[in-house]
Amino acid sequence: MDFGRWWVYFRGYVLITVQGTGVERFINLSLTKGIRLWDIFRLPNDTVIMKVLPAGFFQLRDIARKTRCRVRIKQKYGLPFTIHQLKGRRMLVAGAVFFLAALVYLSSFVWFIEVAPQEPLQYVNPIDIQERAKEKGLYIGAAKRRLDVSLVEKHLENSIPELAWVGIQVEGTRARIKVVEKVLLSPQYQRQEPAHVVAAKDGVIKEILVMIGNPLVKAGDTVVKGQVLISGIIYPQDPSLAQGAPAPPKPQDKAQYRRARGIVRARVWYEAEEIVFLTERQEIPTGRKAMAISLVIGNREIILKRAGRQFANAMPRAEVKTLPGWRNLPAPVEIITTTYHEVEIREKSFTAAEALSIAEARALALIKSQMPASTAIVAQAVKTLPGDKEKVAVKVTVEAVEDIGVVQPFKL
Amino acid sequence: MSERTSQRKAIPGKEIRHKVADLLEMPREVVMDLPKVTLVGNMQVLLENHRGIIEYSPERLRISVSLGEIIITGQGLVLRNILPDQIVAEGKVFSVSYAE
Repeated sequence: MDFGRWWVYFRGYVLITVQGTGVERFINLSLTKGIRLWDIFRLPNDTVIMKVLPAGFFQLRDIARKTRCRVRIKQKYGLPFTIHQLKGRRMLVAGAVFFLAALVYLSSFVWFIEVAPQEPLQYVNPIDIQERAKEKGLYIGAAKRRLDVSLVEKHLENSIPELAWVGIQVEGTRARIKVVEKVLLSPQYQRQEPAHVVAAKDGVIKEILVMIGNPLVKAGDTVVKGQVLISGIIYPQDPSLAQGAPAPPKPQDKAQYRRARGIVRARVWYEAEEIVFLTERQEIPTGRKAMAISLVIGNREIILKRAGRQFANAMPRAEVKTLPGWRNLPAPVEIITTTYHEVEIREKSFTAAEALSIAEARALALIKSQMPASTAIVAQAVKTLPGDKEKVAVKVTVEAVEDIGVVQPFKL
Repeated sequence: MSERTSQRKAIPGKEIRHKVADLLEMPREVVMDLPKVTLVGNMQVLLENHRGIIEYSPERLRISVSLGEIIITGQGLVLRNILPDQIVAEGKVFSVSYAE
């Protein structure tokens, strides 16, 4: 059609029925008079239905008389007729307008405030954040256009010292305050109660550096897990001791109780075993993928688009999209898009030597993932374990040097 | 209608028109007043340069053109749109043919 559906609706049109033998002539005459007719269809009972603009309808009367056809209006469509009908029902229109106006007006306020921390809050109470936000104009019922988001953000950051960053997003009538807390020193270091430094694992002491405390071990000693390395109980230095005179036992009450500090580096050993099969199954993505879409309403799943059948082997990865829930009611509708990544399955076979080196590398990687970052590897040994035709096995032992001291408070 | 019919029967200087159309590279249907039919699958027929409807029923549609008439047969044919120079018919089209 040369003018679109909306325009036709806007102008309004009537559906008419034309009865008579000379309907073709009726159509041709209307055409020459410039009356637009469209959607002409002959019904089985020999009446023809067609659509015409209201302006053209009155001109049709003349033509109908000439061609001896009977013209009747069957239905009126479009805005002018709808308006005419609504004129008789003013309160309905008023109600609709009021409803829309109320909706627009009410949506210009903040009705929900949500504190959304990135990680669980440790120091700050969400209610305090809301109270602070109120001071600069972010409260339930606040007008959105008077709300200065960056001002509230700055105010929150400045007034609550525990917060590192504040970001406020206003989505519709919901304000979401995103906060990130500062990482404060963990409480273990803040406390000043007396403590020992004890061994975190078995090892042989390589070197020991005492900052505070009384060393109970020396280089070359073998220690076990949990053994006290640097004691927090310090006995006063007796000057007579330095002169080589026999030291009388000191009473306990003269001892000082401190929080021991120091670095105790020790040689420790790690072990890992790894088995590698001589033939391995590998799934290699080919890069081809297909997406399936399904709609979940309540307990029903409606598949909108199927995919993945064309692939012999594929890894599905599902992603669920949900509408924001209201209060504690989750949205009853969700969309699941499943992406199928095609994979090619390959059997890869190794020679025994290749398999051994792979096993060694994997075992070493496993060990390294268990080590603290500061560990230095001193030596490593690889031992081949008895395998068979299908697999090889290795045992890797690593000697490393690391700080094994951990602070452990003690009761007096 | 009667005037047009007489015009059709005696196209003055048909040959000359043909040559002029070729020379000026103008569309023939414009210069020679020929009907132009566009079919979209078997769903829609667009006919340009028509001269009125002779007969219409959902199975059969006859349209007057300069060369005589075009007969469209089908099933559930609807005259979707009629303008002075073009007709759009929709439905299931079986055939489009000419008749003198």
